[in-house]
Amino acid sequence: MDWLDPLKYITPSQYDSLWNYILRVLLDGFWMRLFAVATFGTSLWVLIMRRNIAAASIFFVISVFITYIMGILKYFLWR
Amino acid sequence: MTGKGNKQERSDTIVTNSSAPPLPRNIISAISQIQQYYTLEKKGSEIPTDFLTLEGTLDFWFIGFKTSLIDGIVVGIMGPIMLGVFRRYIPIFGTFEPNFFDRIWSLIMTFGLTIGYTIFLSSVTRYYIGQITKTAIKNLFSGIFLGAFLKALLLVIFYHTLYYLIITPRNVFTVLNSFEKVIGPKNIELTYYWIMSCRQVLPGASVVAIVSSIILILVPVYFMLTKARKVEKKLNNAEKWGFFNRN
Repeated sequence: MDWLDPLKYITPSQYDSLWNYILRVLLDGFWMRLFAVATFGTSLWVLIMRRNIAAASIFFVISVFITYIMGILKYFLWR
Repeated sequence: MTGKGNKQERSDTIVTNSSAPPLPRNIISAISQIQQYYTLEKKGSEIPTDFLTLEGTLDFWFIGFKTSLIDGIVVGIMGPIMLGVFRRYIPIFGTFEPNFFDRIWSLIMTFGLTIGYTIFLSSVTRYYIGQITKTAIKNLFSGIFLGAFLKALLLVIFYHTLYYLIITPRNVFTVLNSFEKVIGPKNIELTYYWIMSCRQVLPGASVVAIVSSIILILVPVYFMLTKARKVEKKLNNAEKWGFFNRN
């Protein structure tokens, strides 16, 4: 099962900086706003088309989390 | 229905099941059921008054009431956050300087559900014809209106309780002091001033709650008074010219 371990292919510091880069891109600016809009839109679609209130609530909560909490997390994780 | 011999005769009478209709589970299934009643009554089917049953009537009311309360929970949480974003006390997307999109987005997050429900309810008003349909809509709306009123009242009381009794300078100072070892003395002062700033949004949040209740009540009523009358007039004209017979 060693082939599943990414640290076999890159160093731990490269692995850290890869994730730092990905999350810094995703937790900032345009992409964060896009994810927030996408999850909110999914929440509406699930509510109206699938009539699944529980799933719509979950997507709405995710959208709220991305809008308000992710920015705060970014502040604590990447000071 | 079959006629004499082997020929089948057409009938305009739609045979319905005499048992009680399935009870709606949420606002969408309630509106769907109203659409079904409308379709039956528009075709001229005679539906007995008690077809809706007492339980069904109360169910429509309860769904309306529950819908308003769910909207109240969302507005209750998102309203103060929205005002905090506008006044730059609360960050949005990691920044204390919201741009135009960020402000609009926080408005949508707060009022989105209210506007969605308002659109649903306004679309229902065109079905306000026929005895059963009218009864179902009236009960749904009365549940929503009472829920909206109660929501506004409870939120106003809640915010003012927080403002005057709970988030007072003394209480905040006492609580923060007990966390001095965790937060550190420097951060206590910053946190104290931040909480006191955020406290200022609570009276405004009461207004947000009242505004969302007013939207939820007035807009469907307006559509009911205007649209329903137009549809009723249209059906009366169609009946008058013989396009269909309601009886």
